[in-house]
Amino acid sequence: MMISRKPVIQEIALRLDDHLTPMGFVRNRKTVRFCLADSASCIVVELQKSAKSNAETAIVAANVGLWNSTLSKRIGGPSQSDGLGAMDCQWWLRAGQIEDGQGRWWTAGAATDITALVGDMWSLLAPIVSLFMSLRSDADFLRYLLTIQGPFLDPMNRWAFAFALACAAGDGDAQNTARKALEEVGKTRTLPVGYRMLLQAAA
Amino acid sequence: MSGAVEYLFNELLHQHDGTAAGQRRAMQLSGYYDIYDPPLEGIYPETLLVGGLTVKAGQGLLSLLATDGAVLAQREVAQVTLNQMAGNAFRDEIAGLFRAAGYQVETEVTKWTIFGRRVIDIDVWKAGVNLGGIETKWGGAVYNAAQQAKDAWLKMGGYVVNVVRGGP
Repeated sequence: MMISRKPVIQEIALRLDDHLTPMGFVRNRKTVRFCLADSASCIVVELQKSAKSNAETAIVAANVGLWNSTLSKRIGGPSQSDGLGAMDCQWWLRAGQIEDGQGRWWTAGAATDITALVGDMWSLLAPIVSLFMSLRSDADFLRYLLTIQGPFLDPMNRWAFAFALACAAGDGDAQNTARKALEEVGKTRTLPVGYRMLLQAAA
Repeated sequence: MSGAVEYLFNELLHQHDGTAAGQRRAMQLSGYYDIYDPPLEGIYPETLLVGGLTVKAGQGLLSLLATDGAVLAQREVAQVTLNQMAGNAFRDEIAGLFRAAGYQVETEVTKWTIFGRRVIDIDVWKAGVNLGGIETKWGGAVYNAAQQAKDAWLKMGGYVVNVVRGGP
């Protein structure tokens, strides 16, 4: 018996629920997304169906996004966490990127052992969720940005985010550090209009 | 191997063999061939050479051929499906070239824009720096106005999308 794509994805989501619900994530059944939101931030875990999926086989990736309210106000992008997809967030990672340097896609069909698949998926998702959970407050995120180059976070974005968060926090030292770093990046790459305006507004 | 091709390939094998053993063989093959690192002897949209067998697509038909060219199994496939398969194969081929050249690439990446979400075929990174996106177009596929508007908006944010075209 063949299982159509949607039930397979729903089944994967159902098993992921076991990991994410205890952490406080709320599952959106329609979109196969899980959200952990407060006033400052939102973490989104979502299953992404590949365009290459068909009626019998689902090809699925798992993405995790970190959305920050302060960055949204100061830099732009989606202004509310409602309805956010992982890739709408300011920083997102696909399961597998940290370990392998590229995201993993899983193929699931009628004969697939979903429990094993989700176990494998969760082993790659857990470090990302854990990282983003530790960055939910502006202060923690700023501290991280100032000290660590996060995976698949472009240096230009890293320093723009740090600058915006430092400005919001009124942290002069962090602001200076981030400004210098961002200006340094700007010597070799064209900074987006928004980042240039951010620097000018604070000057 | 793309999901659609993989499925059709399995179906053709099953049709050819018609037994549970044939289906198991198809499952083994589909498990063996990783979708992003296909050990194919050659990959291009009209013909896929897989494990000594050939899958040939064209004129609304998908055929499984033996090494001597004999048709083992055949089925009709909607042209739109064939086009999609060709587009997916072309995208994966381009992504594979970048991977082989030492770039980190992600396929099917969504970008938020004020005009709505934009799905980028290939997102390219090198040494931790995001270099931009690639839109792959196979045959006469149109780079439409909505895509262009969204890409213009992304460009303002420092993300440049380049279009790569291929065709038979």
